[in-house]
Amino acid sequence: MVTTFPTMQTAIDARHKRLEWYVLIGGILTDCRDVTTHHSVDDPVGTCTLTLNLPLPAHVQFGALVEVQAGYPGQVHTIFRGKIPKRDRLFDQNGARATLNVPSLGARLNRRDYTDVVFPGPISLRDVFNGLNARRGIESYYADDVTAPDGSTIITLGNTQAANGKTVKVPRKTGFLNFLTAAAELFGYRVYDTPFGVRMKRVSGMPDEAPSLVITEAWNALGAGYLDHIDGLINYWEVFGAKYDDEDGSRAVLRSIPDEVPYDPRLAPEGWARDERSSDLLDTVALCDIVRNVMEIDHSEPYEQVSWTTHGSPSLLPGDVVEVTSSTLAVSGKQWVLSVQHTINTNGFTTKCTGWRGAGIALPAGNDVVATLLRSAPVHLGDEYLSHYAVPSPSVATGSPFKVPFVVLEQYSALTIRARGHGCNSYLIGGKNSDADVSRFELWQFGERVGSGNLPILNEDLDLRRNYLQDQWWSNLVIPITGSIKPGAAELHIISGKDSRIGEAYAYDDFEVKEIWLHTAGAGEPTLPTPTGGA
Amino acid sequence: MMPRVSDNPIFAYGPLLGFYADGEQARFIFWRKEAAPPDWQGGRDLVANRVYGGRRTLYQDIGADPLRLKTGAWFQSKADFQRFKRLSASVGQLWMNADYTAHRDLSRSPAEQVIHRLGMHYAIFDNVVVTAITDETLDNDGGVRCKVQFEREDFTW
Repeated sequence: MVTTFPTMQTAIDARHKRLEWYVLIGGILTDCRDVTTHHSVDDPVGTCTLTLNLPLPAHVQFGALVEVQAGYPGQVHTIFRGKIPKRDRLFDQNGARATLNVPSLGARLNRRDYTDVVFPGPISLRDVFNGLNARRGIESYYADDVTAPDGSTIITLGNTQAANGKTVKVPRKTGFLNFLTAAAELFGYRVYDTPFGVRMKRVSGMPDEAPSLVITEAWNALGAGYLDHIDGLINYWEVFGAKYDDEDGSRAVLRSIPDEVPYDPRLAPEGWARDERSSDLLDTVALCDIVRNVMEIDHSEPYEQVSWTTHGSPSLLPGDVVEVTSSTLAVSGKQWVLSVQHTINTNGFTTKCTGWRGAGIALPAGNDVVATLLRSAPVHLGDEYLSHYAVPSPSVATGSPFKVPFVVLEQYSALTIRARGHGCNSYLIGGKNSDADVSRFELWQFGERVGSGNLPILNEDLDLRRNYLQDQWWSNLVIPITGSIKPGAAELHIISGKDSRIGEAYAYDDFEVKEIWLHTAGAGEPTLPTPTGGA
Repeated sequence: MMPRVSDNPIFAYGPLLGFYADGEQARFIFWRKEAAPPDWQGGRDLVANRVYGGRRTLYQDIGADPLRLKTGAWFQSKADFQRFKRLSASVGQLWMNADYTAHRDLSRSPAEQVIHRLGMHYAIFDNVVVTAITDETLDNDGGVRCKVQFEREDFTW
């Protein structure tokens, strides 16, 4: 009597099982010598290698659908679906045969489009995945919600107008699969093909799902291996996001750093190792923080890869969770299935898998922006005595710049002067505030002007004679620093300009600035562990 | 010189016995030394995997071995033997005395597995391959004897 298995677990545990396998090409049952299929979360397109006797049957044509089914009574599953792009024939002392190397159906997703594909944002990565699959006509695809490691914060892209116009663009030169793979991997997800369609799934951190199979030494494992190393052990991650001009004109470079890097004795004597990721898709600091946390979870502990071989497990897919226990290898617990390779030949049907899990811990975010107070007290530029100003008399001679020295740090990604001000580039003409563009700032370094720009327009409101001793009448003023400024000493020159529309006596623009801060982005540093002695 | 043809009366027995291919019959008598006639032999192709660290061995039944019939064949003449050698290059049909085999070709309909002709029940097997012809000997009366191995797929699986 033939045993029928109710579950895959009962099948691979069974002492005796009867193999059934079928290769259908173009829907026709086709004799094959052997077959090997491979799917992996890190190889988005699955592959199948079939060996057939020559001459090839007439139905083995380019584009013919190859479907491989295998298993045992009650547990026969499809282990591969793809279309034939290539046929390789040969004969030698082992006979005449053809080898078919067949990519899985999801390979079509890697074709490029004739135009940029643009999604309006904010849009979840899952919706982008679904949209690109639908556009490519993929028959079957499925994505989980893409969330932060907390499991609830949905990842959206195209969030920032200034960075990307609140859109997500897939350039026409980029294959959809490459785009999705790169985007998903940032957040600990993988995009890969399975016999049942293209899948996007979290493969990151500790697996928290119920295991699909339980693999146990001395019971159902034909072989197993365990590899661990610290080659890629990184406990200090920095993540860089989009670079763009902010709404206030300042240059923004998004960056995420940890607040503090814990000491890791495996990285002695420094106790830390650094790496970074960057992507223009990351258009908020929150996204950068999420990516950094994913990297910390997945790469801040030694890489541990478990491999095992069992009798064929045709229902097992990459991204599944398997529990592996081996006392010999000192392995125990759930593993993400990274790759699944099925082999059917005269030695039977076996499945070889690799598994892994991320064991690190996400670190709190650190402050990436270093703010340096350059001047606190108000300064008056212009040519008039104005009693309602905080500083009634001009602080420097008329027409002279007010110089603010500062030091540019060794490492930075963006510099911005932020201050409070009022009245710049605004005159009272005919009883009304009139805009101007005469007052400006300049950046000087090593005796040369290395950058300049206009100050923003802040209404003069001279007729109101506001009391500028009160902070409420001051406005924020942002001066993005552009140009080739280098680390070292520099000066900010604030210059009151002269407007020809005004009488000579009052031609210079009167305004005040105070609380001048230099914001250096990209200069934040986490607190690093104290190195220990010895190597 | 006329080719010699054995006049052994045994060749009057079972005129339809033999191997059929390409529309021809290579006639022979099933010949044996032992009292019991040999029959088709089969078996399962089992892959055994010993499990490390335990006493378990896992078996995977990857299919049935082909059924094999190792028998002696006795030809009335060299011409019959040479015809058999020629036809053995093709996949053919084997006609046996139904009383001397426990097997039936399950790929054939029940009514066609055994037929009655000229006073004998013949068991017919399709898709038979001749995989070996050995130990050829020439009888003094012109007959030829040899050992033959036939194979066919096991449809009982």
